[in-house]
Amino acid sequence: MTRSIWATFPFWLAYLLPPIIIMSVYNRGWWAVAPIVIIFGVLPVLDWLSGVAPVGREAPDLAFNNWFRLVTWLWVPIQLALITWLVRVVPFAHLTVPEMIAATVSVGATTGAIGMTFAHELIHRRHAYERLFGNILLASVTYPHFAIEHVKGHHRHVGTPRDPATARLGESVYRFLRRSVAGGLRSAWHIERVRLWEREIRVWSHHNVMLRYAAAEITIYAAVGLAGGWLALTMFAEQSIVAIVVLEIINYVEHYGLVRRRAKTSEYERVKPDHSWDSPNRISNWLLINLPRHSDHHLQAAKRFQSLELLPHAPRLPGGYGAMFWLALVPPLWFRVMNRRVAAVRTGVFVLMAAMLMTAALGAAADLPSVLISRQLSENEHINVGDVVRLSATAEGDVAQEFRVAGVYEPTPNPARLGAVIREVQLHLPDLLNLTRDPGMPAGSEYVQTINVALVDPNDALAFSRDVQARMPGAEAEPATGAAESTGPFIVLRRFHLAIAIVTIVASTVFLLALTIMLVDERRAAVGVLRLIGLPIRRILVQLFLEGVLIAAIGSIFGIVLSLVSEGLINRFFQWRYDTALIFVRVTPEVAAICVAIAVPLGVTATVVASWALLRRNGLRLARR
Amino acid sequence: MNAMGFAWRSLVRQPARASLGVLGVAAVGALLFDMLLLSQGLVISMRGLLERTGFDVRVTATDAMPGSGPLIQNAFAHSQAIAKLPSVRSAIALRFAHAVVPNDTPRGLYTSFQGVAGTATHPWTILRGRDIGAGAEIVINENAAGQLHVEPGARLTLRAACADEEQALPPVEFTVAGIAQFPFDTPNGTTLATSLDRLADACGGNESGEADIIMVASQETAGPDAAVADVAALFPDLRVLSNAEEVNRFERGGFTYFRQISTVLTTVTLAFAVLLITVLLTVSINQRLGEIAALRALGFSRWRVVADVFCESVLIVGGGGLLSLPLGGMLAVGLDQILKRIPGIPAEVHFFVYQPSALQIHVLLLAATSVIAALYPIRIVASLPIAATLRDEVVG
Repeated sequence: MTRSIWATFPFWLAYLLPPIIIMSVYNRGWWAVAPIVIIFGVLPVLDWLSGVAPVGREAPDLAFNNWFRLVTWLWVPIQLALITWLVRVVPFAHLTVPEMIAATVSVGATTGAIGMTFAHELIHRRHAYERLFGNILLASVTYPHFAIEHVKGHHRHVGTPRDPATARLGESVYRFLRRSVAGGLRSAWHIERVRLWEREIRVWSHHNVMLRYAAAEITIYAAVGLAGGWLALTMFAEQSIVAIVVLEIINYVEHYGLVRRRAKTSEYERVKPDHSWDSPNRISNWLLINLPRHSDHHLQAAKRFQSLELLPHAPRLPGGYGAMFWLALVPPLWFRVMNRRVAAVRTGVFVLMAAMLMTAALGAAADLPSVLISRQLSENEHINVGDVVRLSATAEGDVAQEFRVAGVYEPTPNPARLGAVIREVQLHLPDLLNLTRDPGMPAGSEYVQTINVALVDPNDALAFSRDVQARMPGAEAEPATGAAESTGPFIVLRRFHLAIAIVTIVASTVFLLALTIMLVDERRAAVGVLRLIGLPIRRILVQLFLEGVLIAAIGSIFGIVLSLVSEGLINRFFQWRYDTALIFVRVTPEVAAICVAIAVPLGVTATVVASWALLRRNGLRLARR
Repeated sequence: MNAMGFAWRSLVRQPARASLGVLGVAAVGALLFDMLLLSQGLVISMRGLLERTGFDVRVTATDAMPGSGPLIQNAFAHSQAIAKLPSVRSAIALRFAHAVVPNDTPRGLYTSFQGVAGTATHPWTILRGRDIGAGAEIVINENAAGQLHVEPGARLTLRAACADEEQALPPVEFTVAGIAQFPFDTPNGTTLATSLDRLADACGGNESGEADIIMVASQETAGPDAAVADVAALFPDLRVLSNAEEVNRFERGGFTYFRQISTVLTTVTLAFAVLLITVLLTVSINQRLGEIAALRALGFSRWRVVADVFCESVLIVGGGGLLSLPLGGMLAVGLDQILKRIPGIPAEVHFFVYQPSALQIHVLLLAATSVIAALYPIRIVASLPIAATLRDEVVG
């Protein structure tokens, strides 16, 4: 899966929006606002329901999977086509003014949320052609200077007063919009001017990238005006404004209230995880290609989106980006929800520092070795960080030793211990050996059960384990990946679930066949008339076949969305029920692909079978004549 | 013609769709029935297995499963003391270890090795030969006998592998007294059993009298709860549980997964069944709006046409429900065979166990499904404007 195209599956979600926009606009009426409802209404709700991703890396490292590049690259022609459609087709489609506004806002929301995010990913890349793709996307929404300001300004000054893209505590989104848009332009100009000055090049020359951007925008606007007239020009400008507003609201959410402290009089501390807000909600991450894993992005801007992780110490937004977007638009509510969290993050930093100092002082005084305890042990026995505990290797409690609790950790989820209250203590290995050593045994004769090895490239695990076994006869070495899957109970449970899936597919097939028979039968008279006016059977069959494909495809998408929602609900329920961080249900790209691969041909076959049974009959009989 | 007869006529008029509807409900119903069997199956099966051992109280050193936790010190003496309690009929001490028996393979046969001591009959059933006596005798299960090609009277040399023993133990020779069936044997598991003292000898003789568990049979007049209380009072540092408490512990632990998944799948299958029947009935009704309006115009009451629709739903669900029982039974056998391959599951434990309450709930749920599924089509029929529908039908 690590190098398979299926791993990219969730990140193609954004590609559903352009066809939805086009279909909705052509359906006219209230349908025209459907994309806006989907983007700002349905997706945030699904985002909430779909649950959250775990901290850390979800899958094996995908950095070397080049298919992910395709996700961002292909968006460039799609966005250009969408904007071309908006300015070249929509003005001449005899739409009402509200319908045209809805189309413009829909396109703007898409180019803002998706286009800007994809552009953001591309402008961070090393290759010039990828940066060019990013610049094209930004130019198409009249915001090309973002490429300069974001990479050279925002990433350097984030969390400081010098960064126009960091929202301040108590600053409303509306005030931030004014400051950020104007400040971003000023900052980009300043950065470019400094660059030219350092190279001893005149500011007003063709070397000035900002001037080149301006020339490009003038050309684009002229082309749009010539192609579609004033109406097209207005719509293009409007979609750009919507896109910019959407982008800046996302900027507002990403860093609201988080600040970097001054380490010395003139320097700020380096960028850390707690200078950006993370959001683990799945739909947000899929739609915005992991942009909500923002802390990791700011720590390693060169990391491609598929490798970004949710960092354990990064502050979390209370919801996905969709929900936070709406919250930001209501400043009193936003302040009520977020200011407490900002305070907690800021206090947390100081408390952590104080705790570290105190621990250091106590440690120096008492010189006690430190241990970590599991959350469950901490909660059940009311043991807190800093407490001193006595540990012994025997039930009688002899040869006990004192330790200081340095922290509380969430145990690694273990399906084999489901339902058990995990009371665990983690010691440094020398401390554990000291505690358990038989006094009669000479030092150095201790043994351990397992040595865990982290490889530079996890793909080398199999070769490495073979190498270890060859060099150390008697030692068992095996790759961790796949070990859990190859364990007996998991194989059995997988078979069990597969058997249930087969029964479900059988029931679904029967259901589908009954439904298609009825739907086709309902059109008996219409089909009869079509036959009588001379349409060949093949032509009608093709039409029904295409209908079947469309219904099956839409049904599949709906099914996947439904499964994502139930995934979140089931995981939340079982995690609450068993007090564990274990993931019980996961809709992987592979599973989704299998479902689509089964459902679409099944739907199409059912349609064709039912249609063929109808089409074989005489046309007159079908028309009831 | 009454409503049921009318509904029957409506269904047989469209045999393909009616059959598909019934088949769909049968498939969904089979899954529903299986999930109901699964929800309590493992617990019932485990309870039955524990009761069949003849002991209803279990004493261990800690909460850990026997064989994976610390041993009970002086277990033999403890079991004798427990056996003298007024609420106790008998008590035995059991210790679990492993043994390697040389066979045709280079590694030998790795087996479970049990040692037992106490006043009661042993927790196994002799199939051939006789039970162990005072000497170096052993009983083995059928799998072990088959793989080692031995029968009662044969000599067997084994090397014990005991917990905490880091050094290789010397081989010990036993005489096979009999072939026995052990209640907790896994389908492919091999088990040997001897007396606690002989096992301690095979383990190097350092842990004589220690055991993993003391199994207690309570007096019928006193009951397990009284025995639990008496044993706990006698040995407050030991963990004492009745079979019922042990099953409850399983239920709260690993077994709960199956109950939870059966709940989830029951909900999903019911929702699916409701959706299936609602769609079938709604499409069917929509195709017959003119006919229903004509019936109303002829004098059929609103309640009568509603009853027709409801009876159609009942017939589809009833037919599917009936078919779902044999289908579900066969499916349960297949699924049980799959799940029983989980390592460590005793051969006599089943995941899908029939109980009358499962059938009752199945019938109740399907009845509720037929009612809920018929609600929307009933609403269409009940609120049908007669004149407008007839006019549309004629104009159409």
